[in-house]
Amino acid sequence: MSDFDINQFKIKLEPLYETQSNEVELYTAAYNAKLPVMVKGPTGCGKSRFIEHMAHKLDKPIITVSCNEDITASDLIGRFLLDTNGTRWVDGPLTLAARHGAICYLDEIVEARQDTMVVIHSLTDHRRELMLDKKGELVKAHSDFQLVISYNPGYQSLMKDLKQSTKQRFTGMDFDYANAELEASIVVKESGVDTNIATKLVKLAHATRNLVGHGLDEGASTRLLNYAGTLIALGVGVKDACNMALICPITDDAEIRTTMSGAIDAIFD
Amino acid sequence: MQSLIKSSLDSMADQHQSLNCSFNTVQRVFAANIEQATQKLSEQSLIEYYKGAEFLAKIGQGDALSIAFLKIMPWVGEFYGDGSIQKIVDFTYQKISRTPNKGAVEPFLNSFIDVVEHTNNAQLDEYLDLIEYHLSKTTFSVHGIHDTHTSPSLIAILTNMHLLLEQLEFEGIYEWINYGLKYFQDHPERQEEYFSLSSADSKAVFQRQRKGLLFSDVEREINLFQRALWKTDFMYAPYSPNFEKLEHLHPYLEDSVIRLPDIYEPLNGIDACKRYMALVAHLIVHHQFTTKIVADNVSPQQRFFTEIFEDARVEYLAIQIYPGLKNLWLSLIPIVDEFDCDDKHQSCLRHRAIMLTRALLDKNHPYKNQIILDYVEKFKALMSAEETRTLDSLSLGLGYLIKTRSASDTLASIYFENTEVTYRDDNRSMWLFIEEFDEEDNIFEHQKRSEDDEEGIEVIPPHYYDEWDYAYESYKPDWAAVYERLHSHTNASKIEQILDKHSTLVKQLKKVLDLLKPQNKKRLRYQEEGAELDLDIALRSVIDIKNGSPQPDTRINVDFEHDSRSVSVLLLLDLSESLNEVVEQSGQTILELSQEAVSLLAWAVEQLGDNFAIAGFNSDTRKKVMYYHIKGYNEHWDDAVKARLADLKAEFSTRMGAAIRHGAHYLDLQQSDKKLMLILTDGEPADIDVHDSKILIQDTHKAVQEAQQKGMYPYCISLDKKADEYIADIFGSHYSVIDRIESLPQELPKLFLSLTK
Repeated sequence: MSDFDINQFKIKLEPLYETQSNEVELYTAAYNAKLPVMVKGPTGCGKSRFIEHMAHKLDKPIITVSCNEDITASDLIGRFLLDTNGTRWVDGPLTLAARHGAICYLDEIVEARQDTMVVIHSLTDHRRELMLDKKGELVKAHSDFQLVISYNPGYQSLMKDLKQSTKQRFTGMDFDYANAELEASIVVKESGVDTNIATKLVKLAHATRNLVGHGLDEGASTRLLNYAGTLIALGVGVKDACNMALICPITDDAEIRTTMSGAIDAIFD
Repeated sequence: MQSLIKSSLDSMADQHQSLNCSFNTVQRVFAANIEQATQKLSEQSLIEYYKGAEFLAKIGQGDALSIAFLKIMPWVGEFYGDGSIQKIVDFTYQKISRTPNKGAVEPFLNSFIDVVEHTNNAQLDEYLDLIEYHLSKTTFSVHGIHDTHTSPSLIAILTNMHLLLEQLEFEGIYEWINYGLKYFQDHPERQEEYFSLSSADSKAVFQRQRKGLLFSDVEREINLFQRALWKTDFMYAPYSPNFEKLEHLHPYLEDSVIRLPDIYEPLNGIDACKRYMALVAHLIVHHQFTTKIVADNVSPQQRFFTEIFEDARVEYLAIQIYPGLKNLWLSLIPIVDEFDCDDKHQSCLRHRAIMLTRALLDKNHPYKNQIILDYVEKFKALMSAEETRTLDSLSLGLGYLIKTRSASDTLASIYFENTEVTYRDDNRSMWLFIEEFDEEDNIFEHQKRSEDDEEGIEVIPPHYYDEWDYAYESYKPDWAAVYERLHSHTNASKIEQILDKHSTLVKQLKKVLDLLKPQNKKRLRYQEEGAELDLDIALRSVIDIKNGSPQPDTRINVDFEHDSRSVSVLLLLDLSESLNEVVEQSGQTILELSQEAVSLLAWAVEQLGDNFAIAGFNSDTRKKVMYYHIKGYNEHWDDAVKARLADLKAEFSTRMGAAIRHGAHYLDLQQSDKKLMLILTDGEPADIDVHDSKILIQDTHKAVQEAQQKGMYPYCISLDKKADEYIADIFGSHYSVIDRIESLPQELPKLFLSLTK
């Protein structure tokens, strides 16, 4: 265990991130106080990008776990494995981060089952410790350790919501799609298209976001805009690129597709 | 060569200065038309023209035929070519004049004015076949083999030929004719009514056969379009332009409702859906950028040009946001030739307007007229300003009119061709009339007044449903009008009392419900902790370990979970007059018993958490089938719902088919595996405008079949002791008859539970 190098989890290249308001200061303050953070916002609006950006800025390693339904408590904490000599304990990502001092980022936490989520409780309050019951060890969190979860309120359904007892252990930060101008400049930087095209792509994204609740669960994300921009920068026709990157992924509804192709025609001349 | 023919024709005209015919009236018409005929017709056709006119004057039907013939045939002969006039003469004589339909010859000849306009030059035979078909089907004999009775509808159909040919393909006309023949062949008065396009079903069948794209087929797309681009949520009220030919209708947006044509054909390469988008976009940008200005001191002509600048202004503003709209709009604005209109003989108002319209929007417009160019510059200068207003359009419009005004503007003959921009509205929204004028034509007014809605509730337009006619084995289109309303409400405590009264039953039901709740168990594999060891997975993990794999799967258990119910239920209540009858045993009316039963059922279903709706229906002829929402699928069993249920009233009749179709429409939208439609009724389907009871029974059966085809499970609970006579014909085996009506409150929830077990 002693040869474990937590620094492999550091982010080498600075991830591109456009500041929207004072979120960098807020996050830095939370980190310094070692307060757990919950970032909320729709798909693809830059939550993960922001956390990576902050890890790089603070020069701390970050361990990301993408949560899914099948994830169990042992997947986070660690487990005994049988080997030829008997058994061997292997730390899970949460234990690794707590032991060695990293930011542990649980992405899309609502996807995990609620019984799994409770294991993080002891790490998120004043105790800052993690009980490895199977191993009989109490891990005291490293002073650099911080827990961050991301959470997409768009999914809110009876089945997939965080318990109050979990929610109330975190400080919250709201994220949304950047305003049109900023979002366009992000698209320009990420994909290399010109501002004119980027502005129109953003307009199209806004059109899809207006349809949320009318047949669409979520509008086109900034990430998809970047895909579309990248395709256009590579020489793909504007309308084809929009169809491929913005419309096709978000809906199977033939009527919405007709509408959106009308919208594409209206926005691009 | 040409001059040779010309001279020979001249000589022929000279030679026949008088037609070989003794009617003076015919001679006069001949003299008036021969010059035109000579110009238009070939030598061959001209001979046919002469022969035809002479022949028709001699068949003993007076002078009218020859007169009509002489007037119209020059155009017909020119259009269809040699031989066509002869063909028409033969047809007239053989197929019409020698049958009992003599009287139709003149209208037949006159119909060619429209036929020439709306067919291509290879379609003469098709038209003649059509008329022959109609004749052969509608002329009949009572005794013997020879036709003795006139076709009651030939003249009617001929007088409507312009509408038919304009709106329908030949195929569509045959469909329309066949429908009429099927229903009214033996009923001369109604046949005539049908073929003169004056009865409602004739119009409905006609509408259906029209060419083009119906708005209702793209309504959702258009709705999403306005929401996506402008976040607006206007409703629609489509109108049919065809029968209101005299008043030319334009789209408009008023009171948050968009009025638009119910059908569009592709135009200038723009498909119908895109045309609707263009129209909605134009209306919405008006709504966005236009402010009302006072119209009282502005003359109609001044208004006309102001509107053009205003249209251009709002479109310009919209194009700044959505540049693609420009191409869409441009392709729908016609281009006319600059010198096409002669302002000595015609009013060129519209011609000037359409050129200006084009020039304001299109940089590459072809026009050289200096005034137009000046005003395009002025418009550009205006639009480059930071902010523009509707009043700016007014000053441009006034100025333009003054510059271009001409004495001929008031002439009765107006250059009209190709000057209409179809997607633009009538701009009523930009004018404020301080003095009351009766100018606005509100074509929807009659709909509002037609129903006696005492409460004065805002009327939701009715849904029309077809009705099955078993005798003719076909649907009568758009036959029943279903109006939906939220049921009125009163004090909810009545329902609470009912539940209290049946508290023992409620307790019994609770036991059944508890048993029912756990449904099939579902196996969950790959569990770290679970009820049993999953041997397959466990073995696989052991093998992994033996192989030295560092990460064997530890999820070797299997667990069980209760499967959730996925049921949607619609309870459809018959609210017809007969429910007011008192049941002797209990002293309550059937309606009260139904209320109790439904309360208990609703309570039970709420416990189970199923998706559940309650609706009631009754009918007062096919024109007014009422469908009351009592509980929506998304509503809980709360006081609002109870209050509506407490206020149930029973009146009118039972047109069940239409109600089932409407209920099925909503049930179909629910996303669940099982869809159950419970119909609670106390008698057979009936209505006061239907005398053959079998019609509505068969129609209901058809409606049930339609629902079944959509994957629903209709089930009837009948309180009619005599139901056995007809109910199996409607619902097959899916019904129960409750003989002891007073036991309904106990029976209904139990029945439901057993159905969904």
